[in-house]
Amino acid sequence: MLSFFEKKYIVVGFLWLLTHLSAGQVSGVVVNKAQEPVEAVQIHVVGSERGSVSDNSGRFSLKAIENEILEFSHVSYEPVFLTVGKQFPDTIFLRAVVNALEEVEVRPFQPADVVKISSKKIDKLPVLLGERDVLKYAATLPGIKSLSALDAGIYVRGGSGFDNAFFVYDINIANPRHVTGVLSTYDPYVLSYSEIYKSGFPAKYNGSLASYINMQPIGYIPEVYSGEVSLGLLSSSLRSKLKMGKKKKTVAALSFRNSYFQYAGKIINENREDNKIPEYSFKDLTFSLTSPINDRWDLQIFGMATDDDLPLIIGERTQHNLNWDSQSFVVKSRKQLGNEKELTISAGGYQFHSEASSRSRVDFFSSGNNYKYSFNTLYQNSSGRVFDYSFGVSAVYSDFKYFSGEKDRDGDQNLFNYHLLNSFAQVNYALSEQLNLDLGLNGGLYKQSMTQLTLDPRVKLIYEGQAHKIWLDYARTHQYERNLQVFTISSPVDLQIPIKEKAPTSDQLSGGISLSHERQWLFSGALFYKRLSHIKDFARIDLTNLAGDDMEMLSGKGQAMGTELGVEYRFRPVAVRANYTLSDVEHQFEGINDGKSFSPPYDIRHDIFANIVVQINRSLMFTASWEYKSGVVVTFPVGVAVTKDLFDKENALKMIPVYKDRYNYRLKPTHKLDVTLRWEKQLSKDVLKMDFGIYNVYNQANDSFVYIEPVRKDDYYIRFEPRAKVLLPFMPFLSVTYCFN
Amino acid sequence: MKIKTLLIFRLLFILTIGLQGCDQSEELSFKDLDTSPGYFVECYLTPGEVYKLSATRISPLSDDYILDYSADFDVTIDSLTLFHSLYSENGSNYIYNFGNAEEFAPAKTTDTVRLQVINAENDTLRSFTTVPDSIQLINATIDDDILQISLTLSERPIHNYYLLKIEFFKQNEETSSDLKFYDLSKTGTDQSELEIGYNLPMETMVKSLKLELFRVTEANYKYQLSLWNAENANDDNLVFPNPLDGNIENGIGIFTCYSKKEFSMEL
Repeated sequence: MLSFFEKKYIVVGFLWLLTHLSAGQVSGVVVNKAQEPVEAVQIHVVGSERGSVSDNSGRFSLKAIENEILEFSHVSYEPVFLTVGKQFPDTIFLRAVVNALEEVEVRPFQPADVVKISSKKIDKLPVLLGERDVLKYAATLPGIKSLSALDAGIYVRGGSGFDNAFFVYDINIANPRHVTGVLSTYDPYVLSYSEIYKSGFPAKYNGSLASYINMQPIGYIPEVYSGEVSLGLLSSSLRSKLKMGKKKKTVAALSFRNSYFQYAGKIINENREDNKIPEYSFKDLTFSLTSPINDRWDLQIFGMATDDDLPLIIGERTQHNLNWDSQSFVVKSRKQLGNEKELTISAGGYQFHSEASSRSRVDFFSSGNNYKYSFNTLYQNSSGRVFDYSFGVSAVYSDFKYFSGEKDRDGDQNLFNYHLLNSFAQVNYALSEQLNLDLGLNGGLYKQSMTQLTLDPRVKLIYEGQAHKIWLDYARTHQYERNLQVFTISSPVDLQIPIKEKAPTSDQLSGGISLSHERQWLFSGALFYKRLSHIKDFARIDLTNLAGDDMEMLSGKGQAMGTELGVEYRFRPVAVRANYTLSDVEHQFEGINDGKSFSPPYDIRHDIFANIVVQINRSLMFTASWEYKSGVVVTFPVGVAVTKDLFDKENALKMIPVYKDRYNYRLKPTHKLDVTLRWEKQLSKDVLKMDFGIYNVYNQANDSFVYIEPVRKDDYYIRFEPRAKVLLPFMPFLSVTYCFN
Repeated sequence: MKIKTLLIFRLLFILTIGLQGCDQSEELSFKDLDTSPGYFVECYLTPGEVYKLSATRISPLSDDYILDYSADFDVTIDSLTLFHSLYSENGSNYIYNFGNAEEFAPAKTTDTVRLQVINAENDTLRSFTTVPDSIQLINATIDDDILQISLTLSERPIHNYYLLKIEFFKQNEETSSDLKFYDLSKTGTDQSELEIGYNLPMETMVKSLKLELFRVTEANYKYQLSLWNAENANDDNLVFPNPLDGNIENGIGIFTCYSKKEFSMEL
């Protein structure tokens, strides 16, 4: 005979079992009004111990049964209570805590070394020539710079454009390297949420010295179907998002873009003998698909294909044809292993192929092909309380092939590959309510012509008060590839070369503070110092013999340090953002510039950026951005020598510019103002948007690249003029976008 | 209709205003540029030919360049003094400003030749070179558009650098030429003979070839390569500039010796 207490335990146990057996998995995404995912939202089943926390893409998953109530709470947002039912929404919108008097959002603090970018934020910048881009927005942030109108790369805290890793779902994807900094590289319509790490890197990341940019499509849209057709100055695009499946839980996004700049160039060039405009053309296709497989598994797929052609006619005898294309593909699947645990498996790869064909005194052809395949597994336990941890392994195989010589003739074919295996673990420990400690360790095994073992620690301490946040971090990273410039300026056909000896290392110490004042002002400041060791450069670049001894990579050292200051002010209808970056980068190689230290050509000493957004009324929005950058260094010859041509007896005299030190000339600073006026009209369900703007309003002559112009008078008289080309002056533009649902 | 109109507006912008900027360029100031580029010396010694050398001060880029051979130097090669005057070769516009009528005859006892140049500021420029052996051709054939040249390698790897100049004579009397660089210095020491190959252009118009094969020192090989690069950079601002290689201590240039073999082939 069972006692009363025994019966009670059996009933309670039965009820507990019933609850858990019948509990289904409830999952979704938590976003704010700007449709940015909200991380670290506490989701709690009212009246139970069950709960979960949203991850950095706003996703959450937990067990709950019908009619249970879920509470969504976050310090910066108003709490939301939802009852679990058959029609439980897949997207939970949180409303920011507001100051009743001033209607100003209280935004959660973000350490300045981790930047989170949503497509809504990108919308607040002037839409330069009709092109929105993740990287263009990133280049307006403290510590992240772009170099010139010709360069699509970003330069983070003194790193080169090739020192950044671009990920989708933590898997390396190709950088399409569309020419010029005004063209979009990654489309925020599909890749609508990005995180940029400038320092304090999570343990799972390694392989790049400067930054890690993880982009991801958001797996939700408010409507079943939406799309837009856009006509810009340089290209047109068609974009669409669609909810699919019985429960409309599968979301697909597609973006296709095609340029027509080349047609305008062709028309203009027909009437020109020289100074022909490059008939540059490109097209790209980006897609993503997010779908739940069952209660526990979900699946995400991403793909991107790009194709670019750039013919450059320099003169009657000289012509270069540059072609490059890329394909990237990523598959990620995640399994919920309970309320606070999950396992993520992702795999993917990319191909980047480039060709440079030059017709000059001696014809020259180079081609490069790089395949990279990656595989990641990650196990995470994130309760959002005292102790979280994650660990995993990643494997990368990269294959390089490049050829140099004369096309269809003899030349050097070079084949390289490397294997990289990383394992990592990270713990996040809450020392107190305000103080958090993140500890990580990334161990690597790099195998090329030699084998290198690496051990890279990561430490981050964050103090978070009511109106301020202070952080200090240290991170060591390694890099296993180096770019080889084919031309004088960094170009899309630069070749990637694997490191054949000790890999370049960066030890970065960084700290900063964020302060808010009266919930309208946000101030941030950061300091960073990087010690660079075993960094690589080439003693010389000989395009006739890319595999020769002269192409040997030199090993050197360097440092980068700087300060970043930012201020934001938001009081409807005005939002202002300004920042300043001071940077000082030095490299030193025994075989370059007689061993003297020098600034690399991407060292921008002072950089100022300011942006204002004014919502004039419901239909009109005005944005303006002004930027100032110190001049970068370039290499100029210092003199002229007369040499004998051993191989041409009749015309044996050659005048040759004599180069001594690299990077011996600093260009003048550049600055410009861009403005855009956006007009939006609601047409029943659809929206028509028109962006009218002006690039470089006051027509500042900003140098894009430099060259030497030999002005020959006779056999014994020649003058070499250093000149700079200005590619993008005052330029009005109009972009029309029709959004439909 | 509305969108069409806007499209026309946009194209007008491109054609009228936007692309005008592609032509803009500006001359840059020479401010902060090094104005003391140094001295340049170039000397190719050939057995059986007279000593001749050019030595000049490198003109700063900021100056209008006028070839100036007036600067005097004390020039000696081994113990032989070279005199300051102007010398030219037949059919060439190249001028040497130092020479001696004595013919260069490589010493049998030592194959190192030394150069010393003292300028007006009493700075000394020095260099030395070895003397490559004469070229021993074994055979030259053309088979399936591939030119194969067999030669005897030098016993000294530093002399196994070759430059091949090929002149193509076409049926329509046009000529063109090509220059190839061959680094055979890493060939095994047990190998005394080697073939170098050249893929002939797929043109049926070529009726004969004139070939000049140079055996050069390692320093000269690198110097010629750097000259080729620099010349390209001169012509095309996108080609990467490189400092000139050479073997002149305290200066820029080359002091070297080479041997040459000339021959022709009918196709």
